[in-house]
Amino acid sequence: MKTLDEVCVAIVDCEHKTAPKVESGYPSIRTTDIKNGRIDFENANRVSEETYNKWTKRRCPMPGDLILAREAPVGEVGLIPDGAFPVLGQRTVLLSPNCALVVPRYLHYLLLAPHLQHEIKVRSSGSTVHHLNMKDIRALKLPALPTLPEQREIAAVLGALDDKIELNRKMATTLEAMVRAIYRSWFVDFDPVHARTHGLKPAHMDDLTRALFPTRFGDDGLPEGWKMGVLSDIALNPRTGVKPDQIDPNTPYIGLEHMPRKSIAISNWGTAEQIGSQKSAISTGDFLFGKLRPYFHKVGVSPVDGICSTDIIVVRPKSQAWGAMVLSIISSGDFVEYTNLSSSGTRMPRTNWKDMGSYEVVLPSEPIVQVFEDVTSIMREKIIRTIYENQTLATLRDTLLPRLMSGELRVGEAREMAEDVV
Amino acid sequence: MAERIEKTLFAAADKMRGAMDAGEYKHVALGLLFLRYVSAAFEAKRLEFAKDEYIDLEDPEEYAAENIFWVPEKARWDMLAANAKSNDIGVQVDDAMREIEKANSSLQDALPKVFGRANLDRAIVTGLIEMFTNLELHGTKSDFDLIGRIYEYFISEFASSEGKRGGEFYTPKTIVSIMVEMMEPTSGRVYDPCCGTGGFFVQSEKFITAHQGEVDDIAIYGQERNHTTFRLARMNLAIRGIFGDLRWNQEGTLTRDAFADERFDFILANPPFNISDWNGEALREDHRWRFGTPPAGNANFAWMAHIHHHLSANGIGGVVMANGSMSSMQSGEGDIRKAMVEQDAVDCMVALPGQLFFGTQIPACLWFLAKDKSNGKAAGGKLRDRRGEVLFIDARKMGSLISGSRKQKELSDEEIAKIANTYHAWRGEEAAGEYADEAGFCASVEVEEIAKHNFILTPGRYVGAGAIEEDEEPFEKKFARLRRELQEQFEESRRLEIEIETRLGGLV
Repeated sequence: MKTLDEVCVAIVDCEHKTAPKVESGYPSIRTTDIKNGRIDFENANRVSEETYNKWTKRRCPMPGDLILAREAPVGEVGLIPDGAFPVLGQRTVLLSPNCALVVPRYLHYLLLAPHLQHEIKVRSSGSTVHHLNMKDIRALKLPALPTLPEQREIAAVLGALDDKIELNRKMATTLEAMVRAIYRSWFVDFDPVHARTHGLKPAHMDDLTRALFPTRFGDDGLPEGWKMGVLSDIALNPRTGVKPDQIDPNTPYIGLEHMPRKSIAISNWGTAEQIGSQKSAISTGDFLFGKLRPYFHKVGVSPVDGICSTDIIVVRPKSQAWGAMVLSIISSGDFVEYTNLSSSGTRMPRTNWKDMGSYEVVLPSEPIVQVFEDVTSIMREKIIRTIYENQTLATLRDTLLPRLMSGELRVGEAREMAEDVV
Repeated sequence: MAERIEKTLFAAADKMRGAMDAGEYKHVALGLLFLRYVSAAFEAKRLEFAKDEYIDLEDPEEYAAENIFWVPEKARWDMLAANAKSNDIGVQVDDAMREIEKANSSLQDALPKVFGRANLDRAIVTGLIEMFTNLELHGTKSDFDLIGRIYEYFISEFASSEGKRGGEFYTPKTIVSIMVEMMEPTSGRVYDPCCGTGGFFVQSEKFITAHQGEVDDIAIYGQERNHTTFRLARMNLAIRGIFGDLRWNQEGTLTRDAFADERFDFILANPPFNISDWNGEALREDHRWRFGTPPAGNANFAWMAHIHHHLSANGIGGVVMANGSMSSMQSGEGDIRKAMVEQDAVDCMVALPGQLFFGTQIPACLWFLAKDKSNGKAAGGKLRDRRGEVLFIDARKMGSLISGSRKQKELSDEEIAKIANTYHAWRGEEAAGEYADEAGFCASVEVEEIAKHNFILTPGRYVGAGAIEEDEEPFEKKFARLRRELQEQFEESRRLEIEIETRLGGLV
């Protein structure tokens, strides 16, 4: 039996003040950036080089170290992946595992196991704000550790599941970037039309698609035959209010808190259990736009049938063909910027469908729009599939984790193989 | 082949590090490597002296006359190697360091004495001594090249494993090479106001050797605020046989300028980016700020003014800067930049690709400052009158990932030569041929034109078509890249699916 302190080369507390943020730089990991055992770098605040130096004076958090939240929420813990050099946000603690005693990834899973999470929660209670003392962190008792090869095997089982979850996330990001790149090239930069005016072949395009693009620009500067319109020409805002008493408590519920920034993949949601006010009904595939503080850039595709917060505007294409076009427009930086400038209220600015609907858009000919939808709808579909797959993987990991940590479940064959080698 | 020795040695040294912090460990490993060097140099000279019956082998002055450090008996490598396994080897190494410092005043306080500390595992010291003992030396000049290279490689690898912090004492080789090749420091006084481990000096010396020049034609001056880094620099120069005037003080260059009255022909610097605790408030009235007082919250323009101030009549200064310096408008920085351009202090701007630094994606740029753009000398020839013009070079598309690294880029020799040659041709060096603008790469721009752009000095604005918008990848390239990434992810996905199935199958 060892304490956490005994298996770490260092346990270092954070700076007790908020690091000044800048546009880009080193990630500062706040307690809210650690969720479900994962450090979310995308939404982390950034700090300057100078702040980095000040904030890492005591120790530089390195890949393979763990970051533990001491408060709000207590006990969340994440492993710093390769290539990341974060600073500690307020109320976090750096744990540097001693690799001679414990495999970092194993320690990570061990700390996530229910009995240790329970220990952590017990130690943190007793005051209004749940909070973990440095002393209690150091003294945290760990169960007897298996041998290093065994630790490695166990970490590898759970790690494979987490790696796939992470990869699925990356895959969804790539798919989204691809749709965005095509949209920009075809409908913002007009690359194919430019190419054709010079008698060149547009890049990455088959002959049939190419033939759909005009060969020259009209007097208005748009590709010939295309025209300007507004968003409400091609999309509508279905308002189907649902009252709390009409809702089955198991109905999926999406709030702003579930929507990631700058990604259309909404990977988690809640249930209608706690709902007390009116909500909007949504169907799988509906586009959702966060109207409160639109600069947060929360735009996504609903992966479920259910309800959403009234701070989310539901957008539906007027016909199926315009789906990809509408989504590309409302999730573009330009559109978000536009809604931000036109939103009202200083502290909690909100936009509305009327303003959104009057956003000027280029309306290409229908056949091109249809091709764009055909090419990209399958990618949208795949993004939603990965969300479901990730839920399955996460459930599986959470089921195996306590059993592997308690020894109830053994990495049988794998371990015997490892023993042969050692 | 040669590189393999450095790599193998570093891999072995890194393995011994165990749980020790890389930042501390580098002083241990580099200190012993230095000890190995002075001993080897001493023994080689001693063998040479032994052939001459009139020389007293134990007379320190004989060695000093030949620029070789005198190594007292207790500090000689053979002695330490023989005792490598003894319990107090750490203390013995510390004593050796002290003995050497005592015998050679130029090394005073340059060597680390950390080996006897209780918290340093004796096995590390023993292991490193044994490893360096096995390093095959032949008692010739090439030994010192080898040790110099190893020292440099160790510094760069330590910089890498310290992640971002490493940037403080090490400027990536690619950046140093670009600056040295562009500036051609063949003779005169060379200065670095924040010299780190002295990388610019070592590269300048290499440049001279490569161009058949005399190393003695340059004189070296440097200041460094971090005392432990300052030590690394002194050892680095000593190994290379470079004699320089390096200074250290607690306050740092901007506050306490160690060479306040000196002027230099070449200034090369990679100052810390965007620092705010630089004592700017107290220095408001400083005479160096001829282009305007730099904001107290950011020292970028203070460094540039400092460097311009120290240039000799023909002097050229090259500075690595954060990208923001080219376009920032906050706190009067726009006005300072305007004054610099209008007063013809800016000779050339180079935008660099991202990912040149360790552990950070930060994109940087190079500023080249001149004291007098109406003339100047380089490589023996006279330069043309460049007043009223600035050369912009956009190198953002250059560079490729260093093999084995997924995060760090470097420029090829050809790319570096292209940049350097463009600058040489532009400033009228005959050997470089005729200068011509190249869309997307370089443009010579008049001050009136720069004024229209509000004195923003981002090269992308001036080099014209062919250049891509800021950070915007052209569709063709982007699409191909995304497709490739997706294919790799699909493959990885399939591999992980199989791994998961196998692993789950192994649970009993």
